Amino acid sequence: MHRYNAFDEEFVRVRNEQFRDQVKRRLSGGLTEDEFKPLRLMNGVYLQLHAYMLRVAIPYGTLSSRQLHKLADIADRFDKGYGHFTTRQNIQFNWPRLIDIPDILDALAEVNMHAIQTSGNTIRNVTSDHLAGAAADEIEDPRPYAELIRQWSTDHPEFQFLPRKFKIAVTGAPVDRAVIRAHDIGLELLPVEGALGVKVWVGGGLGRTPILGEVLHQGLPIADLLPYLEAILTVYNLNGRRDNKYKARIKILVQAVGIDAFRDEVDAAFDQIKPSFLGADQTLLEILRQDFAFGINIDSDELPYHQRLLNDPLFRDWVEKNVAPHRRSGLSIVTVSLKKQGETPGDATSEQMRGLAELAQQYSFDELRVSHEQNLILPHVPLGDLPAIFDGLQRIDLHTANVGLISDLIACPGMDYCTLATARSIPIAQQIAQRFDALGLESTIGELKLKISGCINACGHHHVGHIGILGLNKGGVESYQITLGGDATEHAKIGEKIGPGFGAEEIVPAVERIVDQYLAVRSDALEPFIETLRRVGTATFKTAAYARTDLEVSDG
Amino acid sequence: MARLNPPVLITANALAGGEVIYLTEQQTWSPWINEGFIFNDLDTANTVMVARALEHEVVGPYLMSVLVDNGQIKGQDYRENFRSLGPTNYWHGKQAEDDDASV
Repeated sequence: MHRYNAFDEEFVRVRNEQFRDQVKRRLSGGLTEDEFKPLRLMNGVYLQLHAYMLRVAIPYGTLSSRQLHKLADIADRFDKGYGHFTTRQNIQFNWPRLIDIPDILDALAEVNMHAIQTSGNTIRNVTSDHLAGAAADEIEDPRPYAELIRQWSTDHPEFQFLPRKFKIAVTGAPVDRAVIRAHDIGLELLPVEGALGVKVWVGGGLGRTPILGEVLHQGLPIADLLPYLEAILTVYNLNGRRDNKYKARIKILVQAVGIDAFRDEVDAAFDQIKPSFLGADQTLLEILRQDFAFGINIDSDELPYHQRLLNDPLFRDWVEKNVAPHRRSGLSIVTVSLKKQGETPGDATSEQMRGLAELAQQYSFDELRVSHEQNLILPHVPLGDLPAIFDGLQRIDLHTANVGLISDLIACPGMDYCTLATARSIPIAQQIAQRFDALGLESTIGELKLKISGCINACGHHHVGHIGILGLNKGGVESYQITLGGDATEHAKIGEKIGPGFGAEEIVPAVERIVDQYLAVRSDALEPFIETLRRVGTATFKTAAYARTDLEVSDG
Repeated sequence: MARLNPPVLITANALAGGEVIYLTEQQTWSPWINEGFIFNDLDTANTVMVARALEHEVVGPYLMSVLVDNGQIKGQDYRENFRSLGPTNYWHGKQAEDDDASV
């Protein structure tokens, strides 16, 4: 893993010192809220519905055991004993006091973490494939490139006051697990004419105007990556709208001028910028590649694993659902579900964080990942250690075997916490998970991606859910609109809105009717929900969703 | 002077802790919605709010419409009810606090 060097440590220390002084001046009346707000946002501090919220960056979703231990300590000391992992591979603390936040930031700095650029109109936390460096289908580990971009974009003087926030995602595998086409810039590392190159998408984003990114470059040489990104950002910075925040994202600019004209602008900017890159970025990239190299020999006794598989159906079920093949023989990837039915998606208690950190330290080469689907990953587990992992997860109640199933759903904090929300997300997520768990249908249904947002800003990625749910305020009551057919993978698609919203009491039965219809019309048990939907179309599911059997007149 | 229907409270967040607070009849801030002073006149409410917005100990004061039911004050908008109680996924926030909690 990458560690801060002396420059990074000094940069974060000085930045924290500055923020401590800014907080002090705000508390003493030396700064007004209007003056202070942009300063706190630059450091990840929001004022939410009940309290302040601190959003901490987890770059490309990679965490060490020591870092997770520190997050647990912060949760206990400064919050209510838990943290919320988000769809942007961050962690949010929902209850810190402003007066404590400088101390929290200092605590984070002790483990090479910070909250810089987790808010504001800047380049946000760079996200990536949560299986990076481990996935069997990977062409190139994207994390060195993500770290290079992180270092380039952090405190970049040109890009601190962009027209709007800016999100970059990087993947190194043909299977897209990072939703790259829903980002302002999506990058895919791939072979180009015998060398490694980068396919560049631009202008993607969800929110009130969901748009999938378009291809800007089919195969950029690696050496051109940073100057090309700088060219894109420069064109956006100069031409993006600043008169209307709802039209300020790069996706609106790309749509307005067209991808070809936008490419011409970027190419012109690139020609000017490229000569200023003299090779230091490529030298750094080589160092970063070494930082992330995984050169450990595995010598694990696999017998306990095979014996447990034969003798323990619960373990077998968990392996089938939560364990994926690793690129190296003898290793496996464990997804730790933070979606126990009835619990808050993405939340982990301090006790769970500590337990997981210890498991990672003992069995996963001290490494964890956060996925955009709000789960945690142990990326390098020897097969022979899977029984010990399962037992350890049982002790901290994190052994739920539901990865990829309907209860493994994404939900934003919604109106339980978020000041922008128009309806709650979490209770709907809890009810859906509990309902399908009670029906005992989850495994029968198979893979189904359900995603819930509590407002049109779409932090819950509802547009790209196979079933998406958007919570709105309709006439003073919570209303939930369903979209169908969205896809967050390399076959990315924006879901189709099926009609009027459902009340809070009606949304779970409506989802159940849609799923029942899927079970009725799928070609066989192996046809996933999304394939059936593509084959038969949405009409039959719409009809099912609005077929309210509870309104039928009874004969009695 | 037209009577405001529904009436309003002045609410804000406390600067240091971020907690939701309500302006009381004594012109102090309380964490409890039932201690909030009800304004029936919009001009008066606006005048008081503008004056209190200058205090640096509070953040973002605004007027919220309320309903009074059996002596209990509730927000007219469900958002304000979550705000006055806490989240619905955990027993956290004001619903979990002692009555003598202070800002």
